[in-house]
Amino acid sequence: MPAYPATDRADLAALRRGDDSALNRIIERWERPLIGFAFRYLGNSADARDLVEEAFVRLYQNRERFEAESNLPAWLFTTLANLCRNRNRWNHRHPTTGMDSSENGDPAVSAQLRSVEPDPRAKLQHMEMLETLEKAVAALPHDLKATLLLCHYERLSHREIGAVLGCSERGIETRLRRARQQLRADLGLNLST
Amino acid sequence: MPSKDPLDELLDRWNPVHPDTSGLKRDVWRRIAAVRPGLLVQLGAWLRRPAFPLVFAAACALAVLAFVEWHEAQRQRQVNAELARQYLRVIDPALGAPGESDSMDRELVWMRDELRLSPAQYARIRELHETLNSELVALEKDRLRVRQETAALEEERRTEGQIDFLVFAGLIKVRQDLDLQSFHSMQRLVSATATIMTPEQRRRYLDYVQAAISTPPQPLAD
Repeated sequence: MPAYPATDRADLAALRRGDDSALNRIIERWERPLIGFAFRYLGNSADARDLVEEAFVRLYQNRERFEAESNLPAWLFTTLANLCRNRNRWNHRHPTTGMDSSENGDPAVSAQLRSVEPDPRAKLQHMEMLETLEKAVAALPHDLKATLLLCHYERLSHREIGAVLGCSERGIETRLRRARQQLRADLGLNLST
Repeated sequence: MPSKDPLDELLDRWNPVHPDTSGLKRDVWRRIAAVRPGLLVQLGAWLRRPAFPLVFAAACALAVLAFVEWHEAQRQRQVNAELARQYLRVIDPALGAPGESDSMDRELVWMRDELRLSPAQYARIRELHETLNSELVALEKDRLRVRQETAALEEERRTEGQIDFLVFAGLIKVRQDLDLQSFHSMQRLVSATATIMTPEQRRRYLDYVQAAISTPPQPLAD
């Protein structure tokens, strides 16, 4: 995850002063990391976009409460992670057919291979593995899933993840280890840490 | 070179196509416009601002100070009013002249503080009032004597059914003269005192004594 502490602070201060254009700058800077997190968490593009918009709306509504040293990305990811958890619960209680789920085989938004496999059989095997990975990640409990996504994809330090999830660094290490163990078990990867 | 963890490799390869972010800003602003907080929510947000507790505490402190100041001013006004009445009682024969033991110290000190008299002004005014006090004490003695003589005549009228009306009329005349004398003494005192003061002090002083100096004693009914 890119870090812009000075810019974030300046834009937050401007937002508090009533400069609404600062929110546009914040959105430009953080929409992609947030969407990436939410999309991997929920596996649904509409939900991901909806929740990221909601996170920015809440940022604007709570702009007066920020202090000079507030950590903007930590606040955004905390809010978004909570929104994702709540939406996930809702989706489990009210199951519908998702447009983006890999079960539907939507090629536009389902897992993609970054590199082109020369062997079609190997490519198919990888795609199957990625679908299994998506399902395994989706099956992780909230704390483990959020920890894994923030660490692996957003490149947050254990301390930063602790700030987002309200947990100690040691706790984050434990969660990360447990998440990886569970993924290995689900994926049938018999390899060491 | 150590081989990479297959799980990490797999996670690295999970690179889904992100949802389109175009128009996200516009949608965010549309949602903000749709959920603009009402007046109460805005007031609540304003109350939650970090500066509010400080402003509130300062406002409370100022309110307490203002109340204390107002209360003290009220109390001082009452004290001043009482001292002004006392002063008038000292100099106005119609309100009852002081006895020999009465002291004008409190009233004079009040006048000094209230009118912000300089030490020189205070000394001269004190001297004037002490002189008047002697006069008033002497006049009061005469008035007491006349009152006793009048009472004796009244007693005689009740017991014997008749009195010497020439003597009675003479006593009434003496009482009127004494009242007039006291009144003029007070007017002289006020006039002399006012002369010593600055215009502003004089204006405030005359406000206090106006009622006394503008009402001469009424002739006694026969």
